[in-house]
Amino acid sequence: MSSGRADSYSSIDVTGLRGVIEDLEQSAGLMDRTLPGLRRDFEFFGVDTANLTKLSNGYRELTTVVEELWERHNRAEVLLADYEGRGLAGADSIVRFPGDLLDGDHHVTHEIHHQDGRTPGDVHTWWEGLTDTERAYAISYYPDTVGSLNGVPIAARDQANRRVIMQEYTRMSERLAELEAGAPIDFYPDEPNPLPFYLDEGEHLKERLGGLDVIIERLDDQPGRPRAYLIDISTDGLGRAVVSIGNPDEADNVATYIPGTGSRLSDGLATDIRRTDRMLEAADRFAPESTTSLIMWLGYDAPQDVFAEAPSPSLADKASDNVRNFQEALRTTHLKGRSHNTLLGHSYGSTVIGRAAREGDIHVDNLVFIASPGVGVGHVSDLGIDPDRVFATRAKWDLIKATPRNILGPQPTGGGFGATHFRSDNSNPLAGHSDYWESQLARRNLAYIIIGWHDEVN
Amino acid sequence: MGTSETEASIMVPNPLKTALERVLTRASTFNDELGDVESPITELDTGATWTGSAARRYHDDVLKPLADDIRTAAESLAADVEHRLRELDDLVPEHVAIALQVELSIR
Repeated sequence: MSSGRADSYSSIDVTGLRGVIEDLEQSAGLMDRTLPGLRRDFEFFGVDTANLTKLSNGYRELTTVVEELWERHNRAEVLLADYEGRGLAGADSIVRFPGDLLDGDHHVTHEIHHQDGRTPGDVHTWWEGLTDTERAYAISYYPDTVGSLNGVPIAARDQANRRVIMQEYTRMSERLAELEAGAPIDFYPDEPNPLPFYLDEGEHLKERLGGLDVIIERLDDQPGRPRAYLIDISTDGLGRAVVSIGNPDEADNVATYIPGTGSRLSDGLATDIRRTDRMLEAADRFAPESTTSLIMWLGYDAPQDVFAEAPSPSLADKASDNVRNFQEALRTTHLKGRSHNTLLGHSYGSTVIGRAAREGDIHVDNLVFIASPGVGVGHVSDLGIDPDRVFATRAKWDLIKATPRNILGPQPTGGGFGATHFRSDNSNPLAGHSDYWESQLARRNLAYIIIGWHDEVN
Repeated sequence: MGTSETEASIMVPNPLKTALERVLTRASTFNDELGDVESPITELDTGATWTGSAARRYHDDVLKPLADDIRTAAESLAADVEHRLRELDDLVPEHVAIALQVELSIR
Protein backbone atom coordinates (compact mmCIF):
# COMPACT_ATOMS: atom_id res chain seq x y z
CA MET A 1 0.00 0.00 0.00
CA SER A 2 1.19 3.46 -0.70
CA SER A 3 2.05 5.49 2.34
CA GLY A 4 0.55 8.79 3.30
CA ARG A 5 -3.10 7.74 3.27
CA ALA A 6 -5.13 8.86 6.23
CA ASP A 7 -6.03 5.95 8.52
CA SER A 8 -8.90 7.73 10.17
CA TYR A 9 -11.35 6.75 7.47
CA SER A 10 -11.71 4.22 4.72
CA SER A 11 -13.32 4.53 1.35
CA ILE A 12 -14.62 2.24 -1.35
CA ASP A 13 -15.33 3.18 -4.92
CA VAL A 14 -18.33 0.93 -5.52
CA THR A 15 -17.99 0.90 -9.30
CA GLY A 16 -14.22 0.45 -9.17
CA LEU A 17 -14.42 -2.40 -6.70
CA ARG A 18 -16.99 -4.15 -8.85
CA GLY A 19 -14.58 -4.01 -11.78
CA VAL A 20 -11.73 -5.41 -9.67
CA ILE A 21 -13.86 -8.27 -8.42
CA GLU A 22 -15.10 -9.12 -11.89
CA ASP A 23 -11.50 -9.30 -13.10
CA LEU A 24 -10.60 -11.61 -10.23
CA GLU A 25 -13.63 -13.73 -11.03
CA GLN A 26 -12.36 -14.10 -14.57
CA SER A 27 -9.05 -15.39 -13.26
CA ALA A 28 -10.84 -17.78 -10.92
CA GLY A 29 -13.01 -18.95 -13.81
CA LEU A 30 -9.95 -19.62 -15.96
CA MET A 31 -8.37 -21.65 -13.15
CA ASP A 32 -11.59 -23.55 -12.60
CA ARG A 33 -11.81 -24.46 -16.28
CA THR A 34 -8.16 -25.34 -16.81
CA LEU A 35 -6.66 -26.87 -13.68
CA PRO A 36 -8.64 -30.15 -13.55
CA GLY A 37 -7.61 -31.04 -17.12
CA LEU A 38 -3.99 -30.14 -16.51
CA ARG A 39 -3.98 -32.28 -13.38
CA ARG A 40 -5.24 -35.31 -15.30
CA ASP A 41 -2.52 -34.82 -17.90
CA PHE A 42 0.24 -34.13 -15.40
CA GLU A 43 -0.59 -37.31 -13.53
CA PHE A 44 -0.78 -39.35 -16.71
CA PHE A 45 2.58 -38.17 -18.01
CA GLY A 46 4.25 -38.29 -14.60
CA VAL A 47 4.83 -34.51 -14.36
CA ASP A 48 5.47 -33.13 -10.87
CA THR A 49 2.10 -31.82 -9.57
CA ALA A 50 3.39 -29.76 -6.62
CA ASN A 51 2.83 -26.43 -8.40
CA LEU A 52 -0.53 -27.54 -9.70
CA THR A 53 -1.55 -28.30 -6.14
CA LYS A 54 -0.43 -24.82 -5.09
CA LEU A 55 -2.58 -23.40 -7.88
CA SER A 56 -5.58 -25.44 -6.77
CA ASN A 57 -5.14 -24.12 -3.24
CA GLY A 58 -4.74 -20.62 -4.66
CA TYR A 59 -7.95 -21.05 -6.63
CA ARG A 60 -9.87 -21.98 -3.48
CA GLU A 61 -8.44 -19.02 -1.61
CA LEU A 62 -9.21 -16.73 -4.54
CA THR A 63 -12.88 -17.77 -4.51
CA THR A 64 -13.03 -16.92 -0.81
CA VAL A 65 -11.39 -13.56 -1.49
CA VAL A 66 -13.88 -12.86 -4.27
CA GLU A 67 -16.75 -13.71 -1.93
CA GLU A 68 -15.40 -11.40 0.77
CA LEU A 69 -14.83 -8.57 -1.69
CA TRP A 70 -18.39 -8.94 -3.00
CA GLU A 71 -19.55 -8.72 0.58
CA ARG A 72 -17.71 -5.43 1.01
CA HIS A 73 -18.97 -4.22 -2.35
CA ASN A 74 -22.57 -5.05 -1.46
CA ARG A 75 -22.36 -3.29 1.87
CA ALA A 76 -20.73 -0.28 0.22
CA GLU A 77 -23.53 -0.30 -2.33
CA VAL A 78 -26.11 -0.22 0.47
CA LEU A 79 -24.22 2.69 2.02
CA LEU A 80 -24.18 4.48 -1.33
CA ALA A 81 -27.93 3.97 -1.70
CA ASP A 82 -28.31 5.41 1.78
CA TYR A 83 -26.19 8.42 0.77
CA GLU A 84 -28.34 8.91 -2.30
CA GLY A 85 -31.53 8.58 -0.28
CA ARG A 86 -30.36 11.36 2.00
CA GLY A 87 -28.96 13.52 -0.80
CA LEU A 88 -25.39 13.00 0.40
CA ALA A 89 -23.99 11.20 -2.63
CA GLY A 90 -21.57 13.01 -4.87
CA ALA A 91 -21.09 12.56 -8.60
CA ASP A 92 -18.78 9.57 -8.00
CA SER A 93 -19.62 6.20 -6.50
CA ILE A 94 -17.33 6.52 -3.49
CA VAL A 95 -18.48 5.88 0.07
CA ARG A 96 -16.50 6.73 3.19
CA PHE A 97 -16.76 5.07 6.56
CA PRO A 98 -14.71 4.42 9.68
CA GLY A 99 -12.96 1.07 10.14
CA ASP A 100 -13.93 -1.91 8.04
CA LEU A 101 -17.34 -2.63 6.56
CA LEU A 102 -16.92 -6.27 7.55
CA ASP A 103 -16.29 -5.68 11.25
CA GLY A 104 -17.51 -8.51 13.38
CA ASP A 105 -20.56 -10.02 11.86
CA HIS A 106 -19.73 -10.54 8.22
CA HIS A 107 -20.44 -14.26 8.34
CA VAL A 108 -24.13 -13.53 8.89
CA THR A 109 -24.53 -12.32 5.35
CA HIS A 110 -22.86 -15.39 3.94
CA GLU A 111 -25.26 -17.57 5.88
CA ILE A 112 -28.33 -15.57 5.00
CA HIS A 113 -28.04 -16.55 1.36
CA HIS A 114 -28.17 -20.21 2.34
CA GLN A 115 -31.52 -20.03 4.15
CA ASP A 116 -33.77 -19.90 1.11
CA GLY A 117 -35.42 -23.28 0.58
CA ARG A 118 -34.59 -24.59 4.06
CA THR A 119 -37.32 -25.78 6.39
CA PRO A 120 -38.79 -23.28 8.87
CA GLY A 121 -37.19 -25.34 11.63
CA ASP A 122 -33.72 -25.02 10.12
CA VAL A 123 -34.18 -21.32 9.48
CA HIS A 124 -35.34 -20.85 13.05
CA THR A 125 -32.32 -22.70 14.43
CA TRP A 126 -30.03 -20.44 12.39
CA TRP A 127 -31.84 -17.31 13.58
CA GLU A 128 -31.77 -18.36 17.22
CA GLY A 129 -28.01 -18.87 16.94
CA LEU A 130 -27.37 -15.24 15.99
CA THR A 131 -26.45 -12.53 18.43
CA ASP A 132 -28.69 -9.47 18.75
CA THR A 133 -26.13 -7.45 16.80
CA GLU A 134 -26.08 -10.00 14.01
CA ARG A 135 -29.87 -10.06 13.82
CA ALA A 136 -30.00 -6.27 13.69
CA TYR A 137 -27.39 -6.35 10.97
CA ALA A 138 -29.31 -8.90 8.89
CA ILE A 139 -32.52 -6.89 9.19
CA SER A 140 -30.76 -3.66 8.21
CA TYR A 141 -28.83 -4.99 5.25
CA TYR A 142 -31.09 -7.79 3.99
CA PRO A 143 -34.63 -6.80 4.97
CA ASP A 144 -36.26 -8.41 1.94
CA THR A 145 -34.59 -11.75 2.67
CA VAL A 146 -35.22 -11.73 6.43
CA GLY A 147 -38.76 -10.52 5.84
CA SER A 148 -39.67 -13.41 3.59
CA LEU A 149 -38.02 -16.26 5.52
CA ASN A 150 -40.45 -18.68 7.13
CA GLY A 151 -38.89 -19.62 10.45
CA VAL A 152 -37.74 -16.12 11.41
CA PRO A 153 -39.87 -14.86 14.32
CA ILE A 154 -42.80 -12.65 13.31
CA ALA A 155 -41.56 -9.58 15.18
CA ALA A 156 -38.26 -9.67 13.27
CA ARG A 157 -40.01 -10.24 9.94
CA ASP A 158 -42.26 -7.30 10.69
CA GLN A 159 -39.27 -5.11 11.45
CA ALA A 160 -37.60 -6.11 8.18
CA ASN A 161 -40.74 -5.82 6.07
CA ARG A 162 -41.54 -2.37 7.36
CA ARG A 163 -38.25 -1.31 5.79
CA VAL A 164 -39.07 -3.14 2.59
CA ILE A 165 -42.50 -1.59 2.21
CA MET A 166 -41.20 1.94 2.66
CA GLN A 167 -38.37 1.32 0.19
CA GLU A 168 -40.83 -0.08 -2.32
CA TYR A 169 -43.25 2.77 -1.75
CA THR A 170 -40.52 5.32 -2.43
CA ARG A 171 -39.21 3.47 -5.46
CA MET A 172 -42.62 3.04 -7.07
CA SER A 173 -43.78 6.57 -6.29
CA GLU A 174 -40.66 8.02 -7.86
CA ARG A 175 -41.06 5.88 -10.94
CA LEU A 176 -44.69 6.89 -11.30
CA ALA A 177 -43.76 10.55 -11.01
CA GLU A 178 -41.12 10.04 -13.71
CA LEU A 179 -43.66 8.39 -15.99
CA GLU A 180 -46.20 11.11 -15.46
CA ALA A 181 -43.65 13.81 -16.22
CA GLY A 182 -42.61 12.23 -19.53
CA ALA A 183 -43.99 10.83 -22.75
CA PRO A 184 -44.38 7.14 -23.67
CA ILE A 185 -41.54 7.25 -26.18
CA ASP A 186 -39.13 8.44 -23.45
CA PHE A 187 -39.56 5.19 -21.55
CA TYR A 188 -40.06 2.67 -24.35
CA PRO A 189 -37.93 4.05 -27.19
CA ASP A 190 -37.52 0.64 -28.85
CA GLU A 191 -41.24 -0.06 -29.10
CA PRO A 192 -43.02 0.90 -32.34
CA ASN A 193 -46.09 1.68 -30.26
CA PRO A 194 -44.94 2.59 -26.74
CA LEU A 195 -48.29 3.77 -25.49
CA PRO A 196 -49.72 0.41 -24.26
CA PHE A 197 -46.48 -0.38 -22.40
CA TYR A 198 -46.43 3.05 -20.85
CA LEU A 199 -50.07 2.80 -19.76
CA ASP A 200 -49.59 -0.74 -18.40
CA GLU A 201 -46.64 0.27 -16.29
CA GLY A 202 -48.46 3.29 -14.94
CA GLU A 203 -51.48 1.16 -14.10
CA HIS A 204 -49.31 -1.46 -12.42
CA LEU A 205 -47.57 1.17 -10.29
CA LYS A 206 -50.81 2.86 -9.28
CA GLU A 207 -52.42 -0.41 -8.35
CA ARG A 208 -49.50 -1.68 -6.25
CA LEU A 209 -49.14 1.72 -4.58
CA GLY A 210 -52.83 1.54 -3.71
CA GLY A 211 -52.19 -1.79 -1.97
CA LEU A 212 -49.13 -0.45 -0.17
CA ASP A 213 -51.17 2.54 1.00
CA VAL A 214 -53.74 0.23 2.58
CA ILE A 215 -51.10 -1.80 4.37
CA ILE A 216 -49.09 1.21 5.54
CA GLU A 217 -52.25 2.70 6.98
CA ARG A 218 -53.02 -0.49 8.90
CA LEU A 219 -49.45 -0.79 10.16
CA ASP A 220 -49.74 2.63 11.74
CA ASP A 221 -50.24 2.15 15.47
CA GLN A 222 -53.42 3.86 16.55
CA PRO A 223 -55.10 3.85 19.94
CA GLY A 224 -57.95 1.41 20.18
CA ARG A 225 -56.92 -1.03 17.52
CA PRO A 226 -54.58 -4.02 17.81
CA ARG A 227 -51.08 -3.76 16.44
CA ALA A 228 -50.53 -5.08 12.92
CA TYR A 229 -47.45 -7.02 11.76
CA LEU A 230 -46.18 -7.18 8.21
CA ILE A 231 -45.09 -10.78 7.70
CA ASP A 232 -44.42 -10.69 3.97
CA ILE A 233 -44.56 -8.15 1.16
CA SER A 234 -43.62 -8.06 -2.50
CA THR A 235 -44.66 -5.86 -5.38
CA ASP A 236 -43.55 -8.31 -8.08
CA GLY A 237 -46.26 -9.44 -10.47
CA LEU A 238 -49.64 -9.38 -8.75
CA GLY A 239 -47.90 -8.70 -5.45
CA ARG A 240 -47.72 -10.60 -2.19
CA ALA A 241 -48.89 -9.45 1.22
CA VAL A 242 -49.21 -11.20 4.55
CA VAL A 243 -50.49 -9.02 7.39
CA SER A 244 -51.35 -10.20 10.87
CA ILE A 245 -53.44 -8.41 13.42
CA GLY A 246 -51.76 -9.29 16.70
CA ASN A 247 -48.55 -11.28 16.95
CA PRO A 248 -49.21 -14.95 16.12
CA ASP A 249 -46.01 -16.00 17.90
CA GLU A 250 -47.55 -14.88 21.18
CA ALA A 251 -51.22 -15.70 20.65
CA ASP A 252 -53.21 -18.61 22.09
CA ASN A 253 -55.32 -18.79 18.93
CA VAL A 254 -53.99 -18.13 15.46
CA ALA A 255 -56.12 -18.00 12.34
CA THR A 256 -54.99 -17.49 8.76
CA TYR A 257 -57.47 -16.19 6.22
CA ILE A 258 -56.77 -16.77 2.51
CA PRO A 259 -58.77 -14.63 0.08
CA GLY A 260 -59.84 -15.83 -3.34
CA THR A 261 -60.37 -14.76 -6.94
CA GLY A 262 -59.49 -11.17 -7.77
CA SER A 263 -57.15 -10.71 -4.79
CA ARG A 264 -53.91 -8.90 -5.49
CA LEU A 265 -51.80 -6.10 -4.04
CA SER A 266 -54.23 -3.24 -4.68
CA ASP A 267 -56.54 -1.03 -2.68
CA GLY A 268 -58.98 -3.98 -2.72
CA LEU A 269 -56.87 -5.44 0.10
CA ALA A 270 -58.66 -3.02 2.41
CA THR A 271 -61.65 -5.37 2.27
CA ASP A 272 -59.57 -8.42 3.22
CA ILE A 273 -57.84 -6.59 6.05
CA ARG A 274 -61.19 -5.32 7.31
CA ARG A 275 -62.50 -8.90 7.31
CA THR A 276 -59.43 -9.96 9.29
CA ASP A 277 -60.00 -7.19 11.82
CA ARG A 278 -63.66 -8.11 12.17
CA MET A 279 -62.88 -11.77 12.81
CA LEU A 280 -60.41 -10.77 15.50
CA GLU A 281 -62.93 -8.43 17.10
CA ALA A 282 -65.44 -11.26 17.27
CA ALA A 283 -62.92 -13.73 18.69
CA ASP A 284 -61.78 -11.23 21.33
CA ARG A 285 -65.35 -10.47 22.28
CA PHE A 286 -66.11 -14.12 23.03
CA ALA A 287 -62.76 -15.06 24.54
CA PRO A 288 -61.25 -11.97 26.13
CA GLU A 289 -59.22 -14.14 28.50
CA SER A 290 -57.19 -15.63 25.66
CA THR A 291 -55.14 -13.90 22.98
CA THR A 292 -55.93 -14.31 19.32
CA SER A 293 -54.10 -13.29 16.17
CA LEU A 294 -55.67 -13.13 12.72
CA ILE A 295 -53.57 -13.24 9.57
CA MET A 296 -54.54 -12.12 6.08
CA TRP A 297 -52.43 -14.32 3.80
CA LEU A 298 -52.08 -13.30 0.19
CA GLY A 299 -48.95 -15.34 -0.38
CA TYR A 300 -50.00 -16.70 -3.74
CA ASP A 301 -51.07 -15.57 -7.18
CA ALA A 302 -54.84 -15.66 -6.96
CA PRO A 303 -56.87 -16.07 -10.15
CA GLN A 304 -57.97 -12.71 -11.48
CA ASP A 305 -60.65 -13.85 -13.85
CA VAL A 306 -63.63 -15.89 -12.71
CA PHE A 307 -64.13 -17.54 -16.08
CA ALA A 308 -60.61 -17.84 -17.45
CA GLU A 309 -58.53 -18.75 -14.37
CA ALA A 310 -60.71 -19.63 -11.40
CA PRO A 311 -62.03 -22.88 -12.92
CA SER A 312 -58.50 -24.30 -12.90
CA PRO A 313 -56.77 -25.72 -9.78
CA SER A 314 -53.31 -24.92 -11.13
CA LEU A 315 -52.86 -21.66 -9.18
CA ALA A 316 -54.04 -23.42 -6.02
CA ASP A 317 -51.55 -26.21 -6.58
CA LYS A 318 -48.75 -23.69 -7.07
CA ALA A 319 -49.67 -22.18 -3.70
CA SER A 320 -49.73 -25.48 -1.80
CA ASP A 321 -46.12 -25.58 -0.66
CA ASN A 322 -46.24 -21.94 0.44
CA VAL A 323 -49.38 -22.52 2.48
CA ARG A 324 -47.99 -25.56 4.31
CA ASN A 325 -44.61 -23.94 4.78
CA PHE A 326 -46.17 -20.85 6.32
CA GLN A 327 -48.34 -22.88 8.66
CA GLU A 328 -45.32 -24.95 9.70
CA ALA A 329 -43.44 -21.71 10.37
CA LEU A 330 -46.23 -20.50 12.65
CA ARG A 331 -45.79 -23.68 14.68
CA THR A 332 -42.02 -23.28 14.68
CA THR A 333 -41.77 -19.70 15.86
CA HIS A 334 -44.61 -19.83 18.36
CA LEU A 335 -43.43 -18.88 21.84
CA LYS A 336 -46.03 -20.20 24.26
CA GLY A 337 -46.42 -23.92 23.73
CA ARG A 338 -48.83 -25.06 21.05
CA SER A 339 -51.37 -22.55 19.78
CA HIS A 340 -54.81 -23.42 18.45
CA ASN A 341 -54.48 -22.81 14.72
CA THR A 342 -57.12 -22.38 12.06
CA LEU A 343 -56.88 -21.99 8.31
CA LEU A 344 -59.80 -20.30 6.55
CA GLY A 345 -60.28 -19.94 2.84
CA HIS A 346 -62.86 -17.87 1.04
CA SER A 347 -63.95 -18.89 -2.44
CA TYR A 348 -60.83 -19.89 -4.41
CA GLY A 349 -58.89 -19.48 -1.15
CA SER A 350 -60.76 -22.55 0.09
CA THR A 351 -59.55 -24.46 -2.98
CA VAL A 352 -56.02 -23.42 -2.06
CA ILE A 353 -56.21 -24.75 1.49
CA GLY A 354 -58.07 -27.92 0.52
CA ARG A 355 -55.51 -28.89 -2.08
CA ALA A 356 -52.63 -27.95 0.24
CA ALA A 357 -54.07 -30.15 3.00
CA ARG A 358 -54.53 -32.99 0.52
CA GLU A 359 -50.84 -32.96 -0.42
CA GLY A 360 -49.17 -32.91 2.99
CA ASP A 361 -49.22 -31.95 6.66
CA ILE A 362 -51.11 -28.67 6.90
CA HIS A 363 -50.10 -28.04 10.56
CA VAL A 364 -53.47 -26.66 11.71
CA ASP A 365 -56.24 -27.77 14.04
CA ASN A 366 -59.17 -26.51 11.96
CA LEU A 367 -59.96 -25.98 8.31
CA VAL A 368 -62.77 -23.64 7.33
CA PHE A 369 -64.19 -23.47 3.82
CA ILE A 370 -66.24 -20.35 3.14
CA ALA A 371 -68.22 -20.19 -0.09
CA SER A 372 -66.11 -22.88 -1.65
CA PRO A 373 -66.32 -23.89 -5.30
CA GLY A 374 -64.55 -27.19 -4.44
CA VAL A 375 -61.45 -28.18 -2.51
CA GLY A 376 -59.94 -31.00 -4.53
CA VAL A 377 -61.07 -33.87 -2.32
CA GLY A 378 -64.37 -35.70 -2.00
CA HIS A 379 -64.42 -36.24 1.74
CA VAL A 380 -63.10 -34.68 4.96
CA SER A 381 -61.07 -37.80 5.65
CA ASP A 382 -58.75 -36.88 2.76
CA LEU A 383 -57.65 -33.61 4.38
CA GLY A 384 -55.22 -35.04 6.91
CA ILE A 385 -56.76 -33.49 10.05
CA ASP A 386 -59.46 -34.54 12.50
CA PRO A 387 -62.63 -34.74 10.32
CA ASP A 388 -64.61 -33.12 13.15
CA ARG A 389 -62.48 -30.02 12.74
CA VAL A 390 -63.40 -29.35 9.11
CA PHE A 391 -66.07 -26.67 8.75
CA ALA A 392 -67.92 -25.30 5.74
CA THR A 393 -70.54 -22.69 4.98
CA ARG A 394 -72.32 -21.26 1.99
CA ALA A 395 -75.00 -18.59 2.03
CA LYS A 396 -78.35 -19.35 0.51
CA TRP A 397 -78.07 -16.91 -2.38
CA ASP A 398 -74.40 -17.36 -3.12
CA LEU A 399 -74.10 -18.18 -6.82
CA ILE A 400 -70.93 -20.20 -6.14
CA LYS A 401 -73.24 -23.14 -5.57
CA ALA A 402 -73.71 -23.29 -9.36
CA THR A 403 -70.08 -24.35 -9.85
CA PRO A 404 -70.17 -27.87 -11.37
CA ARG A 405 -68.43 -30.54 -9.26
CA ASN A 406 -66.25 -31.57 -12.17
CA ILE A 407 -64.44 -28.20 -12.10
CA LEU A 408 -62.68 -28.11 -8.70
CA GLY A 409 -64.24 -31.14 -7.04
CA PRO A 410 -67.38 -31.47 -4.92
CA GLN A 411 -68.29 -28.51 -2.74
CA PRO A 412 -67.57 -29.09 0.96
CA THR A 413 -71.09 -27.99 1.85
CA GLY A 414 -72.41 -31.03 0.00
CA GLY A 415 -74.06 -33.81 1.99
CA GLY A 416 -71.50 -36.52 1.34
CA PHE A 417 -68.45 -34.42 2.10
CA GLY A 418 -68.61 -34.82 5.86
CA ALA A 419 -67.73 -31.29 6.98
CA THR A 420 -69.49 -29.60 9.89
CA HIS A 421 -71.79 -26.98 8.39
CA PHE A 422 -72.33 -23.66 10.02
CA ARG A 423 -74.78 -20.92 9.22
CA SER A 424 -73.77 -17.65 7.64
CA ASP A 425 -77.11 -16.14 6.73
CA ASN A 426 -77.28 -12.43 6.39
CA SER A 427 -80.02 -10.07 7.40
CA ASN A 428 -80.01 -9.10 3.74
CA PRO A 429 -81.59 -12.11 2.01
CA LEU A 430 -79.90 -11.22 -1.24
CA ALA A 431 -76.40 -11.14 0.24
CA GLY A 432 -74.05 -12.95 -2.06
CA HIS A 433 -70.57 -14.35 -2.48
CA SER A 434 -68.64 -11.51 -0.85
CA ASP A 435 -70.92 -10.66 2.06
CA TYR A 436 -70.05 -13.32 4.62
CA TRP A 437 -68.22 -10.92 6.92
CA GLU A 438 -71.29 -8.68 6.97
CA SER A 439 -73.19 -11.52 8.62
CA GLN A 440 -73.12 -11.40 12.38
CA LEU A 441 -74.00 -15.09 12.44
CA ALA A 442 -71.05 -15.98 10.21
CA ARG A 443 -68.64 -13.88 12.24
CA ARG A 444 -69.84 -15.47 15.45
CA ASN A 445 -69.42 -18.99 14.09
CA LEU A 446 -66.00 -18.17 12.69
CA ALA A 447 -64.99 -16.79 16.08
CA TYR A 448 -66.21 -19.96 17.82
CA ILE A 449 -64.05 -22.09 15.53
CA ILE A 450 -61.03 -19.84 15.91
CA ILE A 451 -61.15 -19.82 19.72
CA GLY A 452 -61.93 -23.53 19.91
CA TRP A 453 -65.55 -23.41 21.06
CA HIS A 454 -66.44 -26.06 18.54
CA ASP A 455 -69.62 -27.17 20.33
CA GLU A 456 -71.08 -23.70 19.93
CA VAL A 457 -70.77 -23.69 16.16
CA ASN A 458 -74.17 -23.91 14.54
CA MET B 1 15.68 -64.27 -36.15
CA GLY B 2 18.31 -61.67 -36.87
CA THR B 3 15.96 -60.08 -39.41
CA SER B 4 13.09 -59.81 -36.93
CA GLU B 5 15.39 -58.30 -34.31
CA THR B 6 16.39 -55.69 -36.85
CA GLU B 7 12.73 -55.02 -37.65
CA ALA B 8 11.87 -54.80 -33.94
CA SER B 9 14.56 -52.24 -33.31
CA ILE B 10 13.24 -49.62 -35.75
CA MET B 11 13.08 -46.46 -33.69
CA VAL B 12 10.37 -43.86 -34.13
CA PRO B 13 9.53 -40.54 -32.37
CA ASN B 14 8.19 -41.04 -28.89
CA PRO B 15 4.40 -40.34 -29.01
CA LEU B 16 4.41 -39.53 -25.30
CA LYS B 17 6.76 -36.68 -25.96
CA THR B 18 4.61 -35.35 -28.79
CA ALA B 19 1.52 -35.48 -26.57
CA LEU B 20 3.32 -33.89 -23.64
CA GLU B 21 4.46 -31.03 -25.86
CA ARG B 22 0.80 -30.25 -26.38
CA VAL B 23 0.35 -30.17 -22.62
CA LEU B 24 3.30 -27.77 -22.46
CA THR B 25 1.49 -25.49 -24.89
CA ARG B 26 -1.66 -25.56 -22.75
CA ALA B 27 0.31 -24.86 -19.57
CA SER B 28 2.04 -21.91 -21.23
CA THR B 29 -1.23 -20.54 -22.61
CA PHE B 30 -2.81 -20.82 -19.16
CA ASN B 31 0.09 -18.90 -17.67
CA ASP B 32 -0.22 -16.18 -20.31
CA GLU B 33 -3.97 -15.84 -19.83
CA LEU B 34 -3.59 -15.72 -16.08
CA GLY B 35 -1.19 -12.82 -16.42
CA ASP B 36 -3.91 -10.39 -15.37
CA VAL B 37 -4.43 -11.86 -11.93
CA GLU B 38 -2.08 -9.29 -10.46
CA SER B 39 -3.55 -6.23 -12.18
CA PRO B 40 -6.74 -5.97 -10.10
CA ILE B 41 -4.77 -6.65 -6.94
CA THR B 42 -2.33 -3.92 -7.89
CA GLU B 43 -5.30 -1.63 -8.44
CA LEU B 44 -6.40 -2.32 -4.86
CA ASP B 45 -2.87 -1.52 -3.71
CA THR B 46 -2.19 1.72 -5.52
CA GLY B 47 -5.58 3.00 -6.72
CA ALA B 48 -8.48 4.69 -4.99
CA THR B 49 -10.78 1.68 -5.26
CA TRP B 50 -10.44 0.73 -1.62
CA THR B 51 -8.47 2.80 0.86
CA GLY B 52 -7.83 2.74 4.59
CA SER B 53 -6.05 0.60 7.12
CA ALA B 54 -8.33 -2.42 6.61
CA ALA B 55 -7.64 -2.28 2.90
CA ARG B 56 -3.92 -2.10 3.55
CA ARG B 57 -3.99 -5.06 5.89
CA TYR B 58 -6.11 -7.08 3.51
CA HIS B 59 -3.78 -6.34 0.62
CA ASP B 60 -0.57 -7.05 2.51
CA ASP B 61 -1.77 -10.09 4.44
CA VAL B 62 -4.10 -11.76 1.96
CA LEU B 63 -4.16 -10.43 -1.58
CA LYS B 64 -0.49 -9.87 -2.28
CA PRO B 65 0.72 -13.24 -0.92
CA LEU B 66 -2.09 -14.97 -2.79
CA ALA B 67 -1.26 -13.25 -6.07
CA ASP B 68 2.43 -14.08 -5.58
CA ASP B 69 1.69 -17.74 -4.90
CA ILE B 70 -0.55 -18.04 -7.92
CA ARG B 71 1.88 -16.22 -10.18
CA THR B 72 4.90 -18.28 -9.08
CA ALA B 73 3.09 -21.59 -9.36
CA ALA B 74 1.60 -20.75 -12.76
CA GLU B 75 4.99 -19.72 -14.12
CA SER B 76 6.51 -22.98 -12.87
CA LEU B 77 4.05 -25.22 -14.68
CA ALA B 78 5.86 -24.98 -17.99
CA ALA B 79 9.19 -25.74 -16.31
CA ASP B 80 7.64 -28.81 -14.66
CA VAL B 81 6.49 -30.11 -18.02
CA GLU B 82 9.80 -29.30 -19.70
CA HIS B 83 11.61 -31.17 -16.96
CA ARG B 84 9.54 -34.25 -17.65
CA LEU B 85 10.01 -33.84 -21.39
CA ARG B 86 13.76 -33.98 -20.91
CA GLU B 87 13.39 -37.25 -19.06
CA LEU B 88 11.55 -38.90 -21.94
CA ASP B 89 13.37 -40.62 -24.77
CA ASP B 90 13.15 -38.85 -28.10
CA LEU B 91 12.80 -42.16 -29.92
CA VAL B 92 11.24 -45.48 -28.93
CA PRO B 93 10.94 -48.84 -30.73
CA GLU B 94 8.06 -48.88 -33.16
CA HIS B 95 6.10 -51.54 -31.27
CA VAL B 96 6.47 -49.53 -28.08
CA ALA B 97 5.25 -46.42 -29.91
CA ILE B 98 2.21 -48.34 -31.12
CA ALA B 99 1.42 -49.49 -27.58
CA LEU B 100 1.86 -45.93 -26.30
CA GLN B 101 -0.43 -44.60 -29.03
CA VAL B 102 -3.09 -47.07 -27.94
CA GLU B 103 -2.65 -46.03 -24.33
CA LEU B 104 -2.87 -42.35 -25.27
CA SER B 105 -5.99 -42.93 -27.30
CA ILE B 106 -7.90 -44.71 -24.54
CA ARG B 107 -6.92 -42.58 -21.54
